[in-house]
Amino acid sequence: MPLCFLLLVMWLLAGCGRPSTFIDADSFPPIFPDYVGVTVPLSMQQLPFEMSDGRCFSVEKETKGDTLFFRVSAWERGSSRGMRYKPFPVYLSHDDIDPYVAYRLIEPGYESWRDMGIYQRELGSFNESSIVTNDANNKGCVNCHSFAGANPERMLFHARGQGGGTVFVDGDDVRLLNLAKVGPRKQGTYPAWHPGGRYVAFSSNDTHQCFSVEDKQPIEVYDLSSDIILMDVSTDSIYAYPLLNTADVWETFPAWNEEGTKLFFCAADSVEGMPERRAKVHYRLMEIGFSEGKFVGEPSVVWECDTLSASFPVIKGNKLLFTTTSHGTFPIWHQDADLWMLDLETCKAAPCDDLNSFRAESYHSWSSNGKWVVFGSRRLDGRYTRLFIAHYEGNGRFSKPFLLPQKSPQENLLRLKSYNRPEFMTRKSPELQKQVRNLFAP
Amino acid sequence: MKKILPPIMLFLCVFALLQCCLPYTFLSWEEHGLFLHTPDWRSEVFSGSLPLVTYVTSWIVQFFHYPMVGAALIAFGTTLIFLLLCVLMPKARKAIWIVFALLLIAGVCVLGTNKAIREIERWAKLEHVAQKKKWNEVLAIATPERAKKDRRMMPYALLALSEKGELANRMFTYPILGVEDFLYVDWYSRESGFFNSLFYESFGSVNEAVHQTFQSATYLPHGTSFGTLRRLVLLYRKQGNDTLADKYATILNQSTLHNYSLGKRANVSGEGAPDSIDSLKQTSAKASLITRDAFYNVGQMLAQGHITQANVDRFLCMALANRDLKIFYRALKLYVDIKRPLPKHYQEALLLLLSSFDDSVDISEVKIDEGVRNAFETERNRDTFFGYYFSVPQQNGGGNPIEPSGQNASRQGSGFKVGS
Repeated sequence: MPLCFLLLVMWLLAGCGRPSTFIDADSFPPIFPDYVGVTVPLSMQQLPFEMSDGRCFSVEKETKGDTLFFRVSAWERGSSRGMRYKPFPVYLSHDDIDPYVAYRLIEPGYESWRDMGIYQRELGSFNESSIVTNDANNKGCVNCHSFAGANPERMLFHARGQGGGTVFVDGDDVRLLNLAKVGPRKQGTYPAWHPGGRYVAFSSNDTHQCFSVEDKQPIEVYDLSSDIILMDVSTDSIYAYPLLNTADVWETFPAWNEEGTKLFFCAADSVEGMPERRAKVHYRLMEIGFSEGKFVGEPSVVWECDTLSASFPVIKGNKLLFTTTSHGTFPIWHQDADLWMLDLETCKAAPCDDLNSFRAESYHSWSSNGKWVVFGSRRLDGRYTRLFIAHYEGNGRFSKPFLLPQKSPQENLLRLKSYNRPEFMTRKSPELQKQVRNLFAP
Repeated sequence: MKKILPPIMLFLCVFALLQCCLPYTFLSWEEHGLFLHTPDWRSEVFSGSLPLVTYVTSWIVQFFHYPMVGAALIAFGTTLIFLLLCVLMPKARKAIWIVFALLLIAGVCVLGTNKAIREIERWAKLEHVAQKKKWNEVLAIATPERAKKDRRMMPYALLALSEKGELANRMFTYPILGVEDFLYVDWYSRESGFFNSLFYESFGSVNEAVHQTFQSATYLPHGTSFGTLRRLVLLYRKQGNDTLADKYATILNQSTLHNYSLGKRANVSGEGAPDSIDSLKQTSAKASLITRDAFYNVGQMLAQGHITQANVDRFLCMALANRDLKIFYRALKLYVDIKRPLPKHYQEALLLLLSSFDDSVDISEVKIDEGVRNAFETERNRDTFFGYYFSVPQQNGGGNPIEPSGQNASRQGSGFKVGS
């Protein structure tokens, strides 16, 4: 009996005990998340990882100039011999990154949902807190959060459900407006704040989804119509410019240039017989002038491709980042969805090979200084969207993207919610739960 | 010994009572419950109301996966309360014993005879045996008599009959009212999502089974559950998507009881390469779509070559339930060898077709049983197709599954509105 007890104790102690001998390997360690060779801002040097094959490991960290080197030794539990890998580099960038990122957490589900909310994450730590959850609006949908100039104190989001509408936040003033009851009586969907902060361009979409019997792509989300409307936040008036409200063209995904002189958007010729003829829907990138609160001139094509469909244009300087997929308007369910960059000076577009994977890349946003990009990707498992951050190196090139670090690497796998619509913020957003709950109080 | 006997007796009586009366209810508690050692689950519980109670009950409920353990835990708790009272009030020990004996008798009466409790137990058992594909037990619960009183049992009965290959012989022994009896048309409840997931799994559409499983889970307290996660593991394994199957298995392994073995860990925990990049990149815009019309959906599957006996029977019987004899006849000739003995309801339908003097119908090679012929000429009971055809008023619904056009599919609802 004592011998058995001794053996048990020895077995337990042997568990993750460090072996005495190591073999040097001429390769980087297989780690999860893959931080080998990534570039991180100075504020994000905490990068917890583990061996992707579950082995025990130890790390020695060394800083040489602007590079961190991690020397990883790994071994099987109970083994007397381990492997010492080549130190892998993590490059430090002196370019600042906005301190917060906001996103929605929601099950990557289907027609209905239970819990969802808009959350914020401090990038310099692992702190996550909610801005508003759907407990505030009786489990209705909360979506499409958008900040004026990345300022969380001037923002909007939709809170659907009974008595729902769009919630506008301006400092302490939180109000609810049902856009469908104002002006041209069109509901607002995808928003874009004008850089001046007075106007918001919304697309107004009649969105549906369908489900495939057996295809690898289980869901398709599509529109049966969409237009673009303009809201003057100072007067709550809404204006529908006729050239952006045509029945035979579907206009969506508005995005302003930094000067606020142009509105970019996506447009597709309307297609009859949806959703069966969904492969025929190809969105192109368009632009229209804007001056003194009015659209000017006619929309013109900026980029189009017969075999690709564009979505989510986001502009910083002369760089327009957008998502492409084989067809349609909702790339996250398309495994082929990739990020592309359009140079607005040369009007040349190319895929961002540094960012793309074999699975879907979708919504993305630029940091305030245009040096970082955060985007959603389903590369981990094909279903749950996770956030990746990459540094812009210039000339259309990015550094290798890294997964948003979590205190425990396993959190990236165990979380049963998808990250939607990542948006950088220049500071922490106040919690809006109480104010929004009051808006929905009977 | 005298002191020990009462608590032991109490424990055994409570255990036996619960084990006899509520085993499937315990199973369903575990199916709909969740307990995980994950940061998200903990923060959800501790941000809700009564966090400690929720945490402890959730931890206990996971053991109800084994109903005997559930019964033993409750019996143990009851015995502890009994002992505590005896210690606190030693002079009233006899009275406490009498109160507990009376409560036990009341428990037997209530749990054994209360209609609502028995109904909950019956439904818990029906869902459990249907999920385990114990079709004889499904049919033992979902009898024609019970289905008459509670039409929610009809889809279960018809699914069990089709899985056993008896749909075409016994369908009209049930109180069929139309093709809607095959599926829960109301998609927005836990119960409908649960059944529809089983239906579409049997039908061969794992995508739709997953869709319905997710829909069902949104009605559960945590938005998911042990049952949901186990089902997702099963469905994704069936589809060959080991990455997602392993993901859900890894999550289940964060509970106290589950211990799934995983595939290659790298596939789960890393940005691992998929089996085939080309197959992942495939985004087919030509794939068939699910509609709200089960008849149409089954027709699509057959047209695409997913010809199983269960789907053929399901389609032909749906045509009969829809009184669509032309479609029935065309599909029968297409999918069934009519020279072989045909099931009873098919013979009945062919006789009815023949009597309509339709020249295109040729049943010279079909053997019609004497009994079927006599029933047609004399009785036309409700448990035959002609009984159904002539006595049950026609319901709305049902499209044309043979010639689906885009317009037709849209009308039948292949698209679902997103938003409010």
